[in-house]
This record gives sequence, C-alpha cells and structure tokens, in this order.
Amino acid sequence: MRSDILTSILTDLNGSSADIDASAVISTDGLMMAAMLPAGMDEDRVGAMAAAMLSLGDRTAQELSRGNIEQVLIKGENGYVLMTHAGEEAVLSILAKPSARLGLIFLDVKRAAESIAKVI
Amino acid sequence: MSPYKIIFTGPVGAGKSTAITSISDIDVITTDEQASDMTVDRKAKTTVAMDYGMMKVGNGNVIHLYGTPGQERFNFMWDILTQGGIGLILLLDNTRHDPFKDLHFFIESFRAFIDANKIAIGITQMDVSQSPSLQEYHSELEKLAIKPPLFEVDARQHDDVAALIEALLYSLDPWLGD
Amino acid sequence: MTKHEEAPLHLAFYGFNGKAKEILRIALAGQGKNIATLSEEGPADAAIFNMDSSHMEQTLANCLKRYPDRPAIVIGARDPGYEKTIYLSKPVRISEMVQAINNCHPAIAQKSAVPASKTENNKRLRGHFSAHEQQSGRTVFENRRHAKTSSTRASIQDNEDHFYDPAEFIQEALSSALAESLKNQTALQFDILSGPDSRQQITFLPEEMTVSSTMNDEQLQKLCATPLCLIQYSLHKCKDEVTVYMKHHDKPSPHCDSFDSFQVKIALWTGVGKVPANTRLSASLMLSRWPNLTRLPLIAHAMPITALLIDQARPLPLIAKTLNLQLEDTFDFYCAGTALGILAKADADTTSGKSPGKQKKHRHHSLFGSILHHLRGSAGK
Repeated sequence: MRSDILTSILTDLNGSSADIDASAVISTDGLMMAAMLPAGMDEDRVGAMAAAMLSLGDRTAQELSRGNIEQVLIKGENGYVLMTHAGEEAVLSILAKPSARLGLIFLDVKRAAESIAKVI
Repeated sequence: MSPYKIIFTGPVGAGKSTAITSISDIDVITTDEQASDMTVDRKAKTTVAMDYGMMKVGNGNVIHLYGTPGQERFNFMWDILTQGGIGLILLLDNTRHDPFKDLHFFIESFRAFIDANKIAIGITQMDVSQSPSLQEYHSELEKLAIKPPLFEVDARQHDDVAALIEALLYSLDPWLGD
Repeated sequence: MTKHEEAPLHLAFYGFNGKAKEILRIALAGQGKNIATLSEEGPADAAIFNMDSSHMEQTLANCLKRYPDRPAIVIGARDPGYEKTIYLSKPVRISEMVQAINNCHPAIAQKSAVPASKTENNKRLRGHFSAHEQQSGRTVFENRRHAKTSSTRASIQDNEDHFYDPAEFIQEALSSALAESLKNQTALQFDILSGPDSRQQITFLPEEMTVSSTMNDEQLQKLCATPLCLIQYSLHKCKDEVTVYMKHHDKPSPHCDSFDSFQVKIALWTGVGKVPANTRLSASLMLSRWPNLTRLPLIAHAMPITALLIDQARPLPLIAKTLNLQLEDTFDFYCAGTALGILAKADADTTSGKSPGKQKKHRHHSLFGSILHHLRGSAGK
C-alpha cells in the first residue's frame, strides 16, 4: 500500500520533467523502498550507494560546519545524480540528463521529497 | 589520503566500530544510521559508509583506521576503503547464525587484498556463545589455505584489539623485535 | 651451630633422580653441613630411601638384609612399616631430614639436635620467579634465570643448563590427567599435598574446558617447581555432586583457568626457561596454528616466533638467530607451544631443500615499530 503511493509519487516525478531518467526512494541504511529505475540497474547497489553518499555528505557538512545536509549532487559526463533527504528515514535519489536545468529539478525533487516524507 | 591505513571488516554487529573506538586517538567518526532490515534486532545503529579513527604513532606518523559497513550491499565501499591498506582485521560475531559462512564470505571477498597483504581475525562474543571453538575456526581456515592469527577478543578492550594489530604487523614483518 | 668433631657420615641414597639428589646435596651443604655427605660409591654409614620410586620395596628389603646394622631413613607417602627404619612422611621438610640424618650418627645422637629455628631458610628450593603481577587481565611472569655456575665447569655443563627432566615434576601428571579428562569427558580431581598444611585440589571440568583450583597462581607456580618426590598426590574421578556444585555455584573456587591457559602456565612454570631433557634442539619445528594469545598467559616473544614459524618450519637455534634472540629466549615458547599441542617436529622433507628464509623486512618496518610502541604505550588507557 505504502509502496504503491511511493511508486506513484516517483511516476509523477519522472513525468514532470523529461530530464529525469530515473528515481528511487531508499531507507537511510540503504534498502530500496520504491524505484523507477532503468532495466539492468541493481536496486541494492543503487540503494547502498545513495545511503553511503548521503551519510558521508551528512557527516562532511557537519564536520565542516555547514549544518544539516540538504542534498548531495554528483555530476558525471553523462548526467547528474541528486540525493536528498525525504524525512528522517528516507533518501530520494534521482538520475538526470547532462542537459538538465538544475533549478527546475531541485524544485520538483523538493516537492516530491515533501510528499514522500508525509507518506513515511 | 595517506597510504597508512588498517581496515576493519566483518558482518553487522561484530564490533568493528567498537574496536576502532577502543584504539583510536581521536573521536571516531561514524556514519551510523537506524537499521531497518534484519540487523535491527542485533544493534540499533549500523554503519552505512564507514567508521574512521586514527592512531598517532609518533614522528608525525598517523595510522588511519577504517571500518567497512557490514552488509554485502555495501561491498563497493570495501574496495574503496581497502585501497592502499597495510592489512585487514576481520571481526566475526560468534553468536551469529552461521559464523563459518561469514568467515568464508569475508575471506573470499577480500581474497586479493589478503593475498597481497595480511589478515588477523578476532572472534567476538565468545563468552556468550562458545561454539564454534577456535579449533574449529582453524580447521575451517585450513580449507581456505591460510593460517592467520586468530584470537578471541572483546572489541571494547584496548589490549585485545591491540593484540590483533600486533599480530597483523608481525605477520607482515616478523623482524619487528620487541 | 654445633661443630661436629667427628667426620661426616657417608650417606647412600636410593630412588632419587637428578633433581631430588640435587636437593639432598643442597640440604647437606647447608643445614646439614658437616653432618653427612652423599656417597656415590664405597661403604656408607647410613642410607636414605625414596619409597615413591619404582621397585623401592625390593631395594629397601635387599639393603636391610645386606646391611642390617646400617641406619635407614625412609621417605614416602606411606610408612612401609619396616623395623629399624626412620620414617619421614612426604612432604618432607629439609629440617626434618637433617634431623633424621643427625640422629643416625651414633655420637651425634647424644648431643643436642640442630636448633629448629635455623632450619626455615632453606625451604624455598627452586624459587626462580622474582615477580608476579596481575596486569589488565593478563598474568605477567618474569623469571630469573639460573646464575651460571662457576666457569670451570665444562661446556657440557652449559648445555645442561638448557634442560630439565619432566619426570621430576608434576607437570606430566597434571597434563596427562587433563588429557584423560578431556578424552573421557569426565571430571577428574587431583588431591595434592605439597607442603606442611597445604592440602590443595585441582579439578578438571571437561564440559566447560575449565580447570578449577584451590591454588592461586603463586601456589601453583611453587607446586610446578617442587620436585615430584616431595609432593604427595592422588587422582580420582570427581563425584557427581561435586561437579554439579562447581557448575552451579557462582564462584566454584577462587581460581579458574581454561584448559589451554592452565597447560601453558604449568609448562612455563615447570620449564622456567629450560626445555624438557628429551628435546632435540636441532630438530626443525612446525607450528600448526596461531595460539589464542589474547587469552593465554604472556609467553615471551610469542608474536614474532609464531609469525616466523607459521610460514616455514625451522629449528629453535635458527629462529633465535633470525629474530636476533638468545637461544634461551625461545624456550618459553617451545614449552608453551608443546603444551598446547600446536608445535611439532617437522617431517624431514618439509625442511630439506628450503633455505632458511632471508630477512625480508617490510618496507614499512620502522613505521610498524612505532605502531607497536604506540599500542603498548597506551595499554590500559
């Protein structure tokens, strides 16, 4: 039931912008809760990496006096990975195209994260 | 990053974070998260990225201590953390369902690193569960064709963790003297 | 002390092995000075018999028959009950023995006996240990080696400093009882009388792999160093109720050890820096596995020797040379490793053809040294 709602939030998010290729909701210890991923991508690994990145990012932000973490952004040749907290216990992670307009994506992701936080 | 590091690995709850805390000279940095899977009844928090501690050994030298996350899904972190390490400390929890499975799994996972460097193994929680015995572990290790140091340890005890590291160092270099 | 005008007695002795003989000698050189000397050959004025050696009943009977007028001192666990003998029950105090010998001397017998107060100082016969302390859960033993005897002794004598005779100490009895207990899975109990008013018990509990003892480490250490001929002991099956009591009582007795830890303790305390007499030092040794060093008494140089030996079989002198140690420094490890059953003579073919490994120090050798130093410096923090 809850995962149905999460999946529908992710479907909406993927549909809101052509720049978003994939999205997933992951628990902070790295377990996949809901995902809209391209075929062939290992859910477990995506989950674990997102949790590790966000955890390290969280720690880095605190150690370097940047306060609580809001998001982790990774830019690669072929696009972006964006991770953000969705409530205390979940991470929203998305993959976007290299041409994506980040401002719009931040906005869409923030809205989706708030909806997810409410569900969880 | 300085090349001098020792890596602590092992399944969830074996005491990696605790062991690093026992010998670190700085406050240990941990990336703990609430555990949501089966690890939840073993411990409230679980490491998801790494633990980090440090020994200041004099002459300006420091030894970085890294703890890997325990669950297999984090094994990409293991490769990252072991790069350039001096050696590996494997901690196994004797109260887990099948400690030998853990033993085989971690030895195989780190095989390349162990062959190039060395490993020392500490068994925790032996006071709670006496079986398997150290003797049985040794027989199991024979199947894996290695004869590493294997001690019963309490990860909270500085001396126990220090003995593991000493044994690791002597395995790498028996000529260290006393 | 009274000066004896007469020549000392010539004393014949039967049933004494090397160590016990040595103690007799010491006794006669100290408290028993001028009273008697041991006579290896020739006629003797009196004889002393250790009844707990084998075939002694026969020997004693023969001697009494052959020399009916010669005074005989008999020491043993039980009085064999011969007439015209002086019986001393074990454990024997040196003072009692000197007194007994003294009484054999017909002329001396009338004179006043040796004052008893002067007889206490020779009681510690083999006290090599100088320090004994408990440190962060581990027992640390420091043993003082024999001071080398006079330099005029031949070099063979130097070699003899390396060995002890296991038959002269209680170690063998203890460890074979332990093995038996483990094999049959039955609790066994040792009753030991090792000195005046010191009745002690050592119990082997195979289910828990635990040795429970009424003796503390210091007492056990003394027991290990006491010649077997001065100890009276018996071994019997532990009654069920005793076993049950020990299991369910919170503190079964003040001193508990794991089987392994107990084996190592008695090996180190019996060996005190020597190896058993049957050891062939030139034999190549191999080590089957690492000992559980975090839960064993401290064994000198255990880490480097293990690290070296686990890879390749080597004889003790080569180990010492490779690690820049004295040969004697490897003896504790030898005794402990043998007691744990992890050290064995290598098959000939495992050693032949292999050249002793060259020192290949790790490229971080000096860094490792500082890590060790650091770990030890911050111990117990």
